[in-house]
Parts: sequence; structure tokens; C-alpha cells
Amino acid sequence: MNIRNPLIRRIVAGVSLALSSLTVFGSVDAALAVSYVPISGAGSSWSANAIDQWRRNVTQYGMRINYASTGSSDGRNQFKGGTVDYAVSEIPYGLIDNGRKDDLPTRGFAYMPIVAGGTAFMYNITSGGERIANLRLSGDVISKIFTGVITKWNDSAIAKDNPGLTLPDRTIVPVVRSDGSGSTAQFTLWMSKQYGSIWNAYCNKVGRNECGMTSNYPTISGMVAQPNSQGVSGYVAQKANEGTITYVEYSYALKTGFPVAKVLNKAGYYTEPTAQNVAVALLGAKINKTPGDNYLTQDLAGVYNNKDPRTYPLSSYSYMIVPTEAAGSFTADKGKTLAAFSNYFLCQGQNQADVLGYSPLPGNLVEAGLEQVKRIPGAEVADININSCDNPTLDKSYFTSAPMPSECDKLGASQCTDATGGAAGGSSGGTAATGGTTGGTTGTGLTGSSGVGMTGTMGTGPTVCDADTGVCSSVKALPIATEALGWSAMNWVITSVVFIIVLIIVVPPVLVTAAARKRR
Amino acid sequence: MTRNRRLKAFPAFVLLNIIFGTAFAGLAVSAANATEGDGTPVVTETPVPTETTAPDTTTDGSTANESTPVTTVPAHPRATRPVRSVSGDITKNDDGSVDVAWADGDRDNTDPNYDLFADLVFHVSNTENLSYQVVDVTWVNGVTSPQGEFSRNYVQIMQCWDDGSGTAKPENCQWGAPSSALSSIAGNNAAGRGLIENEDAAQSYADGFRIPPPRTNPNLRQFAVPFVSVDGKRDFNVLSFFDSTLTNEITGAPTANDGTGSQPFEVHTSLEAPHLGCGAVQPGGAVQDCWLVIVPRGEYNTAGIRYTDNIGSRLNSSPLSASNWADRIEIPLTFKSVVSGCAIGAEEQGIVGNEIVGPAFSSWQAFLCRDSAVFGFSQIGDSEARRQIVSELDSAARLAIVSDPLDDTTAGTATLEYAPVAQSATVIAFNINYLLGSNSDIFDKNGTLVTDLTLNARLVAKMLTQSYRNDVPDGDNQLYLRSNPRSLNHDPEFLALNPEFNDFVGYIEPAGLLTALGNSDAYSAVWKWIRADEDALAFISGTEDEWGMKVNPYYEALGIDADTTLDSFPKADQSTFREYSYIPDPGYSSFELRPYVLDMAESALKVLRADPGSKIYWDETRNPAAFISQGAQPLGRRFMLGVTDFASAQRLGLSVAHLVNFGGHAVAPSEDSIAAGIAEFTDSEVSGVSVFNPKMTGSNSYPLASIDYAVVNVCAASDAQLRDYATLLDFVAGDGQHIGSAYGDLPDGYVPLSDADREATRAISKALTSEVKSPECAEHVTTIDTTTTDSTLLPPVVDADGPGIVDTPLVNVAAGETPRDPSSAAKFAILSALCFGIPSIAAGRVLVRKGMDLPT
Repeated sequence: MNIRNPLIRRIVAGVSLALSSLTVFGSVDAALAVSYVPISGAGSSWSANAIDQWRRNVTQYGMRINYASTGSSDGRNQFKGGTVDYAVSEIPYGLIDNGRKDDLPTRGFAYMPIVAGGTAFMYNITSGGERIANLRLSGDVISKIFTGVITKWNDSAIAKDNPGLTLPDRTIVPVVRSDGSGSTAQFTLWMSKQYGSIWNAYCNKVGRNECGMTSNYPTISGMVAQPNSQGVSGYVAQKANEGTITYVEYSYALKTGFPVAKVLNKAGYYTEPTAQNVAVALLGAKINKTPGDNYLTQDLAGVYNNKDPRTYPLSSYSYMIVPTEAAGSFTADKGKTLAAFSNYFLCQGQNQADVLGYSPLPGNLVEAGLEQVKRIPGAEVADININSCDNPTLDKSYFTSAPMPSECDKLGASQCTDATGGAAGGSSGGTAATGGTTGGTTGTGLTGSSGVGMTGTMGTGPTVCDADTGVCSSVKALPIATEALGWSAMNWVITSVVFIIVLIIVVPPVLVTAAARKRR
Repeated sequence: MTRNRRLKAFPAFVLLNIIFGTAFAGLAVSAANATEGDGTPVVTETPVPTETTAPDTTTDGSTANESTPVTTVPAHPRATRPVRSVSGDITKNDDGSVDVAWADGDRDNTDPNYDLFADLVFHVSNTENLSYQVVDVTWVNGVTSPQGEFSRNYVQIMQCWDDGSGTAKPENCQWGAPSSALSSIAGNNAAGRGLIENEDAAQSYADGFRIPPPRTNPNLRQFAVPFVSVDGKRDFNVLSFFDSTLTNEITGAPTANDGTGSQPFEVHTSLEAPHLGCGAVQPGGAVQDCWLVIVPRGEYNTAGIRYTDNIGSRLNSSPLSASNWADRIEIPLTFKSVVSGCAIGAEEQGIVGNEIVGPAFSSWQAFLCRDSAVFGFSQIGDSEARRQIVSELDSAARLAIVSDPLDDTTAGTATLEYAPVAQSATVIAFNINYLLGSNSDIFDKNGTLVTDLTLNARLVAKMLTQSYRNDVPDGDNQLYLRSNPRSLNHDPEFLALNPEFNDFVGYIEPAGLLTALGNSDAYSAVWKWIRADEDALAFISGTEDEWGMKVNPYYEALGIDADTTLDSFPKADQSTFREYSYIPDPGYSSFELRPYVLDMAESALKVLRADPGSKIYWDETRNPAAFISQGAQPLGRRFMLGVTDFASAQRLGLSVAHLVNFGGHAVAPSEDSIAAGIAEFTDSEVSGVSVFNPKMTGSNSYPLASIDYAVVNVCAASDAQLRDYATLLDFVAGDGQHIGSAYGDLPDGYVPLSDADREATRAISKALTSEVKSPECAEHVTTIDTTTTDSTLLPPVVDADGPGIVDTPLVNVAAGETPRDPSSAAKFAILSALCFGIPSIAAGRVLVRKGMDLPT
């Protein structure tokens, strides 16, 4: 389950490490003990939940990583100004936003993809006192909601997406980011590419002469603007703020316990931005492989239009902007830390992605990312190797095992009733786990030998159902290890079997011999 | 710290040798030797300071010709000043703290600042065996600082590495990267390393202090004290070593009216400040020592000019400049050897958990990764964590650390085990300066930090419900709040509990109560405590308090008085405000006035920095124009409160409030009061799991105490997971409960588990191990077929003691191998092979021999 890499590779690695430790015998300790210097970064709040986990986990490797989630625009500006060692942003430099070009930094830099995720539509609607948690929306409806064209939840266009729901006659309150934001850039890019006429009309209405992608969402009356991902998700998560909807990374919906809209993809299915749906969607991303300033930046047209039924259309990557030259306050020592940290989150760190509401980067991007890591001055290039990278998507089954959407998620007359996002608590898992509740043995015989009062659940004998076959079986309680190291009933059975076998083998010839002797 | 894991591992290595023969034995032993090093600290590569750092960078004005020996303090060139050693005797107290009187040092009594410093006595709470921690620096008999700026009479504190010369050197000090907010309230160069040529007669302006001029202006004469790192790197630009977010320097700490001062100081080890290297183990085995340097600043510049004659009427010049430096107190700091981090690259076993356990887990994982198992911790809300371990996701963690057990619906049919792991508390941390009216009886305290604060459930409820006017946009003009006080410190209920605040000046007020976004059992407990209190419940239900204050109706509408599922802190007030008509509608909202913080750790940090993050100032010059923050509250006018975890508050040295429990006792969190609180927890439906009791009555029961449990979904976990979880729980039940600051210790702010709880956790650990060895779960028994591949790749090791004990050696994880057990299938295959084989060998011989004897 947890072993995603071939075991053989690990054994080889282990042996070669053991060999290398043999050769440097006397200086083993020094070789293992790598020292790092603290580094600081700033930027995207879209990625902040993942970065915060990574930087906490690398403290065990002796690293001190600082990160301020001040928004992508601020991160890019700070990197340009040299006040941070790295920045995190959803969009690259050089884009034209509201008629102004975001100039490139003067120091050498590279983009490195760090984590994938879905820009989710987290909402807060109730109907008859019950929270609605299975809303579905198509792309043009989303665009119309965020451009003030659709203003009521009971609009017929929304009803068309939701045949199973009766939505209230309530005003829609779109909640957008008030600060310069990569989430806004991703969302407006998607609208401008996919629903250009709706977005352009809105742009003209609010008096922006240049339409297209923007980091600063233009607002109209009826919208609410809030700073940072915490701000927008926090606003929607207020019980009283009914009727609100915002765009925010999926992890924030999980964190606040609120549902997200399933979005209609090109295959005609409404999907949720789960890790696997995002991973599948991003197989359609075109990555700029032309060496230069835009190397590794993403073209998401193939994601928006990915025909795989599992696709979540608003899937994207977020980037770390790293220096490629030691200049100003960025030293090779800092580079060594930044490279080791990057190597960590591109590999092991990706295993945490789906737990947190993100999606692990696919193998090709990890590989390309690791090449970028090598360009950081001070990087320990020898340590960076895709073959020793423990990333879940390097195993192809990550994609093939991604579940297909249910039929009820298909565009049409039916609608799934299961809850999404952070609201999934009550109803998830309820389908498979309704098997028998009887059976099981009482645990008295097993708990007897130990005086340490095991919990009652041990003896109650729960029933477990196999998800694949649907077969339910009664599970005996866990035994307790005694001082004798678990000489369990099973061991007794084996021993007696062995004893009987030995008897069967040994006794007859002995008997025969004895008989022969007697006869003689 | 015991190393029993090593004892277990060693026979395993021997066994491995038997199996693989002598060729492999060499390898195994070498690996064992490598891990053996954990008993003694792993050496961090720290070059010895080189000689090149010394000559041209001493404070001595005439280094080259006087050739002062490095072991003594350089002679002062001014004839009026005697040769002297600086700091004075250090008095060590029984509790490990030290006292130093400024006048005990060799001081120049003709210095115009002399009288201002003469009676100063400094006290440092801890100077030995340090790790990354906060020490308190306090002093008495100082001259009162002015408020809001560092113009004169304040104290500067920094940390320097020790070059073995017997005294601290200015070039070895982490200094000169102040935040812009701080440098803007200090005089020219006072917060930095810059020097102005000839401003200080005692200071050298030789080439070693001259900043290399730019090519465009080779005649430029700019001077500064360069920074020299412990490994000999020398640079005028400190930013390549540290910046304002990384430094621990105290640009200025004020002295209160009564002449006392207090400043928490965050001590850096080589991990936080590798350029100082404090605690790093040097090649010879010695541990790098460091200095704590305190430079009092008076009223006169280095040239004897009074601050009033300077531009802006502020004291100029760097504390590193020779005359100022001569006024320093230096206190040697010794460190625990810094054990370097684990080698990166091993596969991590994922664990999810709530934030309360986060700081403890960081410490545990940094220890366990050395030789047991490498863990990756994901901090998520309790409810999300509970859902995660029973999810069908393959990559899901099967161990979650949460406060409350899973309910039946979530648990379904899963086999769950609960093991207590950590006891701590949710706290309200504060950072408040006394800002008193001049006729106050306690005016002496003006400018110092408030250390005692008492809050009851209703006061906390008032803050959490935006019921004070200053927590609502345009609150003074909101009709529904008109009978409510402006802020906490204007509330008669608060003043009755905290009478000193009656003397505060009227205009000071707190920036709300910082709360984090997200859900957690800890937040749920806060609400339970509030609802359990009769007065607080009445208040949130809409009943006026005795002074006519009513809950903000937006919260009354939420029905929080009856909502038992509430586990987050709402910001429900919908008001918005714009001061001027040119600010676009609707202006700022509650989320800009009182923004959420990301988590409790950030809450503590913002309280420490006194930065509420309110973005309510409209900045037209931005593109696009936006509401911006005005940064931290000015020094001397700080009034911050935040909901955080006790460990985060302790790490940052924050004061925490007494909270009134159900029995009416005001109790501060402490080891005893948290244990007493948990003792009053009630049994849950899950046996062995006790849950929060909002109705604590003990006279010393802290009402927001908490206990976290590791819950394991036993049957859904893989063998590898079970093994790692067992390792974790075994450690947590033992050494993981030792309070301390080393890796593996419970940080300050936790309370060690009771013996009974440790036993319970140890028992779960054993149960998990047993499940691996002889599985009982259907899932583990039926996985025989699918896991046989393991056995073909990893040779199992059979214990010579007999069947049933099959084990693999615990391989040094740092060497890149993650320990894995052969599957139970393999165990049974080998067992049965042995059972059949060994008797067969004997029986075969007997048979053959006996067969020969048989009559033909």
C-alpha cells in the first residue's frame, strides 16, 4: 500500500549506501550531517497550506524554512526586490495585467513547479435549513456568476446544472480576492480563454481596457472582495454569509469544512477537484520546454478541454521562483538549503499533497523540476536524482486507478447526492460500510493476560466489508502482545500440527522396527 | 536518553550477518557503527574560526602597531580611559539564572553616560546548556525610556559567537538587520552596523572598516563594522547571513518608569544562525560557545554630544562602535551540542493530526528519524483527520492525532485503537504594555509588560462575537452596539477582574482577539466552556449583562448558544465602512479590520510582534489602490490578545491569561493546572478515551486543558504502517514524555502523560506489533497472496530461539533504507518449511537406517 517504488531499488540503494559508508568509514558522521542555513520566501496563499506542511516536516532534517503567504503578486515583487530568497506564484513574470507588464527580475531565476491543485468554487447555500453540498456548475454559469450576469441562486441556468436540487430565491454573492492573487489570475485566465465573450463583456463594463488574465479582480456592486485565501474562504465559511461563492484552492474548503461545486468538464461530467481528478486533468497540460525565461510555464488549454471524464477543468500548477545565480543576499549556502528543500518537496513532500487538498505533481514535471533544482547555485547536484524520488505519480497506476465519475455525475437528468469538499464528512463512506453489525467475539479471553485495560473496542468484534467483493466478514479483536512476544493461538495450532507431523513421520518406522525386533 | 532501540537492533544485525555470511557482515557492522554515532552527537561541519578574522577587525583603533594579544581586551587608545576588562562579575543563582551589575565592569566614570548606567543590574534567566529557546533578560535601576521611539535611554541586545579570545567581538555579532519599523524609530545607525568617520574617537576607521567603494566613486568613504561568520566569511552586507525575518537582535527594549525592563530574547543555535554556530560540534569535539551582549544606551553620542543636538533629537551611532561597545555587558552562553538533522531522502510515513500536537510531533519526528522511522506530519483539522483515517484513499494515513474520538457514523466498521499522546492547553496569549495615566498609583509600571490578566467565559465570548465596538467596522456608529463598551479594557466586567486597567489611558485598546481560520476540537472546547457558563450562555443568547452590554446581533442570529457542532470562530458581522467617499464601496469589512490568522502558531507570532494585520488604511498610490496595514502597534502602546496553543505561547515567551473555570476559579495554564483539568475530563463512549469537560470545578483546574489521542485504523493499515505507528507510540509512551528542548523531548507547554496513560499507549503499541506478527484483521490475513513478492526480495531473518519470532533488522533509516518486514505469508512459508524440513532430516536418516534393519 505504502510501497510505491520497487523494493529492489531500495535494496540497491541501501547496499550502495552501506558501501559508501564503508569507504569513508572514519568520517561517516560528518558525511551524514548536512548543515543548512535558514532561508525565507513569500508569495502564493493558494499553495500556502502545502508549503507550511513541508517546511514543518523538514525541521527534522535540520532545515529552517520561512514562508509568508502574502499573495503571488507580492511574492513576485519581493523576489524582484531581492528581499526574499524564493517566491511562490501561480503565474510567471512578464504577463500583461490591466495594460501593465510585470517586468522580469534582473537577477537570474528559474520556474520550478511545486504542487498541483484545483481552484475550487467553495459556496455557502442552504435550502430549508439544510446545507446544500452537492451543487454542480458548468463553466459558462460560473463565468456568468462571477461577472454579474447570473445573480440569483434559483436562476434557470443553475437549475439546469442541478436537476436534483431546488435552489433558494437568494442573491448570489461572488467573493473575490482584493489583493494581487495568483488564484485570481488562474481563474480569469480560464474565463478569458474558455468564455471570452462573457469575460470581455464584463471587462468592458468595469472599464478595463485590456481584458484577459488579471491578478486583481475587477469588482462591481454586489460582489465582496477579501484579502488572501484565508479571507475569501473565511468569508464564505460564515454561517450568516449565505449565498456566497468564491474561488479558492481546494484545501481551504477542506480546512473550513465547506462544500465545493462540481464543475462540468468536456466529457460531460461534473467533477470535484480531488487529487486524482486534478492529476488526470493535468495530463493535458502543455509545458513550455523552450529554454528561456518561460521554460516550464504552463499552457492550460489542454487541461480546460481535457476529454477524460475524470478531468477537473480548473486544475493548475503553482511555481516556485528560484534564483539561478548567487547575487545580493543569496549565497551558495542558501542555495544548498533551497535545493535540498526543493528536492524534498518534489519527491517525498508530494505524498502529502492529496491529504492536504492538493494533487501530486506528475513525474515529467518532477523530473523537469529536479533539473531546475540543479541550477540553483550551491545545489548538491549528486543528491538530486529522479530514481530516488519517492513521488506517488511516478507510479503509473496513480492515474489508471483514479476512479471514474459516477453516472449520476453525468450531465443529464440525475444528480449525485453525496457531499463534496470539506462537507463530505457525514455521507462519505456510507455506501460501502453498511454491512452487518452483528458478529464478533467478546474479547475477554484475549485481554485476560494483560493488566493494562485495553479499550473496549478491541473485544467488540467489528465487521469489515471488502470494498471490491462486498463480502463482509467478522473480525476478531486484536490480541495483546505479552512479554513472551505474541505466542498466540495460531502459534499453538502450528506447533501442534508440527508435532503431529513429526509423530506421523517418526512413529511408524520406530513402531515397525520395534515390531521387527520383537519378531526376531 | 535511553537508546534501547539500538539494543534491539544489534542482535538483528548479528542475525543478518549469519544469513549473509562474512562478506556482508562487514557492511552491516559499518552501518551499525554509523548509527552508533547517535549516542554521541553527530558532528556538524563547522570549520574553526580562522585567524584572518582577528587582525584588522578588532575594536582597537591601532591594531597594526600595538599588536594587542588576542586574549585580553584591546587597550583603549584614549589616555583618559584605563585598560579594562569589560563586563564585571557574573553572579550565578541556584536556578541557573545570572546577575551582572554594570558598574562592576571596568567603566570610565568620566563618560557622560556613566551616571545613567551606574546602577543598572541585569538578570538573564538562563545561560547554560541552551538550545533554541527564549531566555528572559530583565534589568533594574535604569533610566525611563521615552515612549514610542528609541531616542535615548534604552537597551540593545544581541548574540555573538565566541572566538576564544575571552571577550565578545562586535564583528561576531548578529546585529544590523532591523525591521524597517524599528529602525525608523531609532537614531541614525543606532539599529545598524554603519559608522561615520571620526564620530567616535575610540573607533578605528582603518581599511578593515571601510566599505569597498563602488567603481563609480572610488573616493567614497563609507564605514561599517563588517560581520565575520564563525567559519571566517567576512562581509559588510549582513543580508547574506541574516535579515530582519531571521535575526534575533533586539533593536531596542524600553526601561519603564520604575527603572525596570524586561525583554524575552530568542537564543539561536547553529540551526537558526549557522553563521554564529552556537552549539555546533567542532572537529575536536568542543561545542561552540557564544555571548549574549547587552549594550545600554544613554543620552550622549560617542562624541559626547547630547541626543537633543542631533537631527530628530535621537541618539546616533551603532552599538558596535567602540565607545558604545565599551559600555556593554557580555555574558557567556553555553549550548547543548546541536544534533544535526536526519539525512534527507528516506520515505516518510504520513501522519495527520491537529495543531495542538504539532510542536511536540516536530520534536518527536526529528528524534525518531535518526534510527526508527521517518514521519511526515500533516496538520489538518480534527474532523478532517478523523475522516481521513477511515477514507478509502490508498495514500491516506491510518493514524490521526485528535482530541475527540470518531463518532459511530464516521467510524463505521473500522477497528480503531486510541492511545493518549500529549497533554496541553488552548490559551489566550497577550502582549500588553502598561500605558497609564500620570496620576496612577502604579505609574512606576508604565511602559512595562503586563504579566497578569484574567478573563472569564463571558469576556471571551464578548470578544469572539465582535460585541465590542472597536471590533466592528464603524462600530461607534452602529446602533446595535451603542450600549456596548468600545473595547475590552473599557468593559466594567473586565475592569472588575483586572483593576489595574482602570488606570490605563483611555485611547489605548486591543486589536481584537486573534483567531485562526479552520475547524478544530480545541476551538469547539472554547465554545463548550462558554456555553457551560451561565452568564456567558445568557450573553450569547441575547441577554444583556449587568452593565447593559448585548451580544452583537449577527451572532445572536447564528444561534451559537445552541449550536453544539460549532468548532470554528465565526466573523459574522457584515458591516463595512469607508471613511471617505472616494474609497470605493463598500470599504473595509470585518475580515480586513480583524483578519483571520492561518493557524494558532501564527496567532502567537502576531501577538509577539504586536501585528494584528488590520488592513483598513486606504492607499491610493497602490496599483490598484487598496486597503493596507499600518504594521505593528508602536512600542509602548501594545495591546494584543490571541487564541493559541500553550506550546507556541511558551516558545515565544508570551504571557498567558488566567481563565475562570466553571467552579469560579481563575487559573493560569501550568503543568499542575492542566493535569488537574484533564483529571476532570469525562469518559467518552469509547472506553479509555476521556473528553473535554466544560464544567471543571477544581480550584486549580485550567478550563481549556486538552489531551490528544493517536487513533489508529488498525485493519486498514499496512504492515509497514503498523510497524511505524508502533514505534512512534512506544517512543511517545516513554522518552517522548520528557519535558525539554532537545530533539525528542516534549517542548515547554505540554504536560507529561500519567503513568496509566503511558501504559495504555505502550499497550496499543504492542497490540500493533502483534497485529503485524500474527494478524487478526481479515485485511491482513487475506493479503498473503498479494504480498508474497516481498518475501522474494527481502530475505527474512528467523530468530534462532524458535519459530514464531520472525523479524527484520531495524536498518539505519538515515542510510536510505526503510525497515520493512517480510509478509506474514513469508513467515508461514518458512515456518512450515522448517517444521517439515528439520524433522524430515532426522526422520529420513532414521528411516533409512531402520529400513536397512528391516527384515527383507
